[in-house]
Amino acid sequence: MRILGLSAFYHDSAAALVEDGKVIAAAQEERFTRKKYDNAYPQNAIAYCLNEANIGLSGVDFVAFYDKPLLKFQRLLETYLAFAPQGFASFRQAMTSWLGDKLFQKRQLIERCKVAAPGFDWKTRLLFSEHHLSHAASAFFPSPFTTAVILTMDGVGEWATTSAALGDGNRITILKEIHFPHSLGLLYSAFTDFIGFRVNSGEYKVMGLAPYGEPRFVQRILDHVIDVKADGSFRLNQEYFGYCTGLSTAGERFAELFEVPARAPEMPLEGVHMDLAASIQAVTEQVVLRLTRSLAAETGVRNLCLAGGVALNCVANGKVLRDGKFDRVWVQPAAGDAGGSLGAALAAYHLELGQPRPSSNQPDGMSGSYLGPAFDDDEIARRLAAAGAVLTTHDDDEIIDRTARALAAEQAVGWFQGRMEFGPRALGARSILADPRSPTMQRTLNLKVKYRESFRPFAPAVLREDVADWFEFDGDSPYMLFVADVVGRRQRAMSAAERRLFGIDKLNVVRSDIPAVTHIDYSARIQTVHRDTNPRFHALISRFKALTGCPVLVNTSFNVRGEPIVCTPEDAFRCFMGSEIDVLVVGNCFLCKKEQSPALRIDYRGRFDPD
Amino acid sequence: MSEPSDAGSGKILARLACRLLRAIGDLVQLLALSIFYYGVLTPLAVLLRLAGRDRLRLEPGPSLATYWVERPAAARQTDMTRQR
Repeated sequence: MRILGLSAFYHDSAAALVEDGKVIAAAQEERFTRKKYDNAYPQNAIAYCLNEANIGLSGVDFVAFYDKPLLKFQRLLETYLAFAPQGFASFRQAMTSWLGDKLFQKRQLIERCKVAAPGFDWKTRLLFSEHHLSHAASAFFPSPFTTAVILTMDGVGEWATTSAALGDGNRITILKEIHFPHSLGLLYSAFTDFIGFRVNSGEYKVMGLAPYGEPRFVQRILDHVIDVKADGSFRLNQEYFGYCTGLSTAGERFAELFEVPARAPEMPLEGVHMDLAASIQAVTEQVVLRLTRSLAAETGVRNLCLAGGVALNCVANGKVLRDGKFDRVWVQPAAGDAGGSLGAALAAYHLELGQPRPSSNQPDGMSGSYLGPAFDDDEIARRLAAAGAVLTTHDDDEIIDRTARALAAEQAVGWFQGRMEFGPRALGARSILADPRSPTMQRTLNLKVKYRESFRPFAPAVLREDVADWFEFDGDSPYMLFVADVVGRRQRAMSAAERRLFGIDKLNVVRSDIPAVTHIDYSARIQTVHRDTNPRFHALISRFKALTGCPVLVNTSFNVRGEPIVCTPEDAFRCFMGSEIDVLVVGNCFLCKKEQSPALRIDYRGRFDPD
Repeated sequence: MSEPSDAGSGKILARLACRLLRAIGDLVQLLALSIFYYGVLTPLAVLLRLAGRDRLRLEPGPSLATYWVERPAAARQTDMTRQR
């Protein structure tokens, strides 16, 4: 039985195909349209998924949409009822959109299905999950657990912004929810906006900025903005927020409360912005820890599954894991709305149709999240040659050795191998790699390759078997969703003068043996690399270790600021020629920048809207 | 030679008509939504609030032990055939 899951029309559209409970393919629409967080109907992602299974839409038994549009519309109306006469501008914009098309999503989806597969009664084959049920299903069913507590947290779905559920076998029972407008995701987004970053994409910048600041506003936030109960449940004081009635999420009263104006995106980052980031991060961690502790105590279950946009907060995830209230924590790598497509398909298969889970879900059911398109070597060589690339091809051992040597020589390497990742993180299939030992690599990659703010840390990809030698962590983190410190013996203490440095200047101080991936608080966002799930990436890091003694590489997504991660060999070549990546390795093709025609260089800066 | 210029002026006219119709459409929509929002929805909202309705749970609950909303037993599973 095949089920196609869809998420669309709000943020980061995606499609996923599940066959007999196994995830066959999944991809975000943005990767094909090259439009970051594209929220359009995911026709390219659908075409890819069907092509991967070698079927047309008529080969699909059910299509499952990731939320319930009419419940969402009801919530909108209730919101205006709670605030009218305030909020007309927002009401007008929402109604234009809803009465124009969103209200008729079922009809639209049926019409699109009919075009692709006429002759089917799509009315009975189209299913609608709930937003948080989709997240919960995406977190539990691919997890390695038979039984688990499932906690989902995001901005908002229909009504729920947070949900707690129990997963047992092929069943999920939703226990309780926190409803709109009380939302941890929207709270974090309001601060993201106030600090001058873009909502729905800048949240991870706030998380990256937090270690630079002091959490001196925590008590003020707890006293005025969010009321948190002992069990972690919360309500937001809507006097501080604009999202119910206006179009901006950060209320003007934030400026009064924190005695600082909202930062415009082009303004310099100051100490107070770092303190605000540190404060909202600390509040978020406090709420998440209270939630997980109370759920652990209440249920007695020792496994935890997380999903929803807040579950991408890997600093909080790391603290939940170290807190020890759960023995094992599994986070869906596509924790945001894109992953809802996968969750909707799995919910349909197991919950609606009552089908059992696959007998083996080890290490998990996500195949390393390598669920996107792949290209064979002949096709890669042909497509790159057509793009004007000058390349050499090598056998597997040689390509690994050449790449490892380039990395050891402190060159930035574009690494394009196998199936593209599903979810926001590059995990060694569409990655830019570099030597983490270099004291200048973080700054170089940020400013010359990624064209983004230099305060943001990079993540280490480390061999699973070596992780405990380098980090205060000895488990699996294949999806880069847990943060832990560099081990003490590899840290370098800062001098008194260095400690006095302010903000980003501190970043340039060498703080460990692997400075390019060590944040200023000695933390790192770890990806453990496993021989079973990504043998080629594992072989590359192993070879780098043989050359240098270091089993760690810098791993950042293969894109520049504001660009979706590359999908095809042509995307990779374009990004390579538009940035200062030194070497590009696509399959078994090896490309050096200095050998490429200067006429093919392109100015990539300004091509994409900043994220 | 006169045909292209006729076609050109026809295009300009069509574009102008399009803009005018869109502006009228926007105005009608604005009027209709304003009447609904201020004439229907707002009085209803005020009445409901006076009657103590707080669907969004905007009031703080210092005496409450929790802000979790229990999912009723009958609603712990969802019916995926429905949009609501």
